[in-house]
Amino acid sequence: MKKTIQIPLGSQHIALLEPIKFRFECENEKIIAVDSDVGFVHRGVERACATKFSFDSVPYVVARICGLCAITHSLASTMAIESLMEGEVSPKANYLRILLVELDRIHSHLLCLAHVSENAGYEAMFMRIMGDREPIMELLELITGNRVQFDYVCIGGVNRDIDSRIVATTQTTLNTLKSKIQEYIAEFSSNWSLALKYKNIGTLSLEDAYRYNAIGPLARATGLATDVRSSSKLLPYDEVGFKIVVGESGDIYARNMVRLQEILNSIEMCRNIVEGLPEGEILTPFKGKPQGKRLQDSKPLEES
Amino acid sequence: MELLFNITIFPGMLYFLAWTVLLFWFFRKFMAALHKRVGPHFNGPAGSYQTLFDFTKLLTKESVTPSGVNPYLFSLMPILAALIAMLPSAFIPWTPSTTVVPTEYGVLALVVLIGIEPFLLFLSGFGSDNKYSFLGGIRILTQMISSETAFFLAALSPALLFGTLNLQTITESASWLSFVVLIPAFVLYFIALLALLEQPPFNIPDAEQEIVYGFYTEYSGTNYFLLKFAEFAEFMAVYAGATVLFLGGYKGLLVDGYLCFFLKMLLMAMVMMAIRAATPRVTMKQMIRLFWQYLVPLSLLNIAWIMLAKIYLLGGMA
Repeated sequence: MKKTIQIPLGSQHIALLEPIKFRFECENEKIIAVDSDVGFVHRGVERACATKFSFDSVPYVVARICGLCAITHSLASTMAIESLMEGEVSPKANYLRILLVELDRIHSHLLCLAHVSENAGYEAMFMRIMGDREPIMELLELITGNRVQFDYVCIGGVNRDIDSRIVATTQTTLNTLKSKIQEYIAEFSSNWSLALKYKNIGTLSLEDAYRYNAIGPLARATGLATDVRSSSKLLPYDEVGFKIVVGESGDIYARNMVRLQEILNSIEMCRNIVEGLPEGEILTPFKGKPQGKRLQDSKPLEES
Repeated sequence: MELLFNITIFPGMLYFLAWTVLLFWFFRKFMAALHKRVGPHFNGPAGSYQTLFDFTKLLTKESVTPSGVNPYLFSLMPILAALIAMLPSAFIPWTPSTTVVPTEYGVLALVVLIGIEPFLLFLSGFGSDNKYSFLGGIRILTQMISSETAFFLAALSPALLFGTLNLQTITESASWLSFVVLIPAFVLYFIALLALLEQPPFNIPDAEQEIVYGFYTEYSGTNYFLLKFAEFAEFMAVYAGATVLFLGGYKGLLVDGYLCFFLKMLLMAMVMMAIRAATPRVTMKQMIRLFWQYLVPLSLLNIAWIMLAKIYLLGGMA
C-alpha cells in the first residue's frame, strides 16, 4: 500500500503570490517530493517587444511584466538599449535611478516578509508589515506619480525631477521606517514561536546555491556573496554607501534577516542620495537608433 | 412551558444564535483593532449588522453537495455538530436558579459533550471526499487526542478539590482561596482549550496556507452556516465550562447574576483573540511534543498539587 499522499497546491492558492502549481508528495507531515508547473503567466511580452513596438517604447512594455517590481525590468532594458547607443546619462539621473530601485527594493522586501509571516500563520505581523509598507508606496507615488507601474525610467535619464518637498518627506518617512525595521529585526530574531517556524526550515546549502545559480536574498542567505549591485558597475552604487549583506545558515530565518538588513542598507543609501543629490539635467537626449544586428541575424551569446 | 422556553430561548436556540452573531462581530472588531484596521464598518452602528447579514446570506445560498460523497453523512454532520455543541448549556448553572438539567454529574456531562465535538468535525471532513478536508479531519483527530488528556485532567481538578461533580455546588463553594489554588489548572485548561477549539496557535486543522480550509473546504450555504454555528456554540460551551469550574460562575464582586457570567466569558474570548494576534501557528510535530511532553505531565503534577492543597489549605471543606 502506498504510504504517501499527494496534495495539490495551486494554480490559485491563498499562500501563493503568483499562479504556479505544485504537487506535493507528503509522508505524514513531511514533504518528500514536489512537482511544479509554472506555465500559467505566459503573456507573449517577448514577442510583442520584438514585433509590435519600436525600441524606445520597449522599456514601458517590459515594465508590465511585473506590477510590483515596476522599475527593475524597465531599468534593465533601458540600460541595455543605452549601451548600444551614443550618449551619456547624467550623474543626477543615475542617482535618481538608484533611489527608485532602492525604494522599490524596500517595499518589495517588506511585502515578502509580510507574506512569510502570513504563511507561518501570523496574520497580525502581516498586517503590521503591510501597514508600514504603505508610506513607502505613498513616497513612490509622490516621486513618480503612481503607486505601482510607474514609467519613471526612460532612455537618456528619468522622467521626473524631485524637489525639496519630496526630499523632506523622504527623509521623515525613511527615519520612521528605520526604527520600525529595527523593531522587526528584534521580533524576527527573538520571537520564540517564529523561530520554531523559521530556524533550520527550508535550508539551502552553499553548494546547492552555487550549483543551481541561486540569486538575490536566497543566495546571500546561504553565504554566497553575489549581488548584481556590486558585480556590475552600471550604476554608481559604490558612491552611495552600498554594503553587501550575507547570511550564514541559508534557512528561512537567514533569508528574513538578510532582507531586513538589506532594507536598512537601502534606507541608508536613499538618505545619502537625497541629501547629496548633484545639480544637473535629468534627461540627456540620445540620438539615432541602437547599433547592432536584428535578433534573427545575431549569433548566440557565447560565440559572439 | 418552562422547558419550551429553555429549549427555544434562554440557554437554547435563540441565545446561541444571538451569541454567534454578536461574538462573531466582536471578534472581527477586536481583531481589527489589534491589527490597526477598521473592521466591519458600514452596516449598522460600528458595522454590527454585518455578521447578521452574512449569516442571512449563507442561509439563502445554495448548499452544494459535491458528487461522489455520501449525501447523508455530508449533510447530517453539520446538524449533529451544531446540536451536540449546544447540549452542554443544559448542564451549566447560568444563574443561581437556571440549570435546565440539574444533575450530580455535571462535570462529566460537560467534559464528554465537549470531547465528542472534534470527532464529529472529523467525520464531516472525512465525509467530504476531498483531500484537504480529509487531512483537516485527520489533523483534528490528532490534535484532539493530544489535547484532551490535559483538558480532562485540568477540568477534573475543581471536582477533586470540592469533592463533587455537581456544577451548581462547585460554583457555590468557589472562593478566592480556591480560585488561587486552581490557577495552574486554569492555565492548563486554557492552553488545551485553544487546541480543542482549533484556535491559533493551534489552528492546524484549518491552516489556510497549507490545506485551504481544512474540513470546511467543501461546505457552503446552510451547511457552512451550521458548522460555523457549531464552532461558536462550542466556544460558548468551553468558556462556560471554564467560568463555572475555575472563575466562580455567576458570582460577582458586588452582585451575582448572569451579567458576571457573561463578562467572564467575554474576558476569555478577548484573551483568546489577543493570543491569536500575538502568535504564529505551530506545526503538528511541535503541538504534539508540547502536549505529550509538557502539558500532560504538568496536569498530573497539578492533580497532586490539588490534593495537597485540599488536605493542607482547605482542610475542613470537603
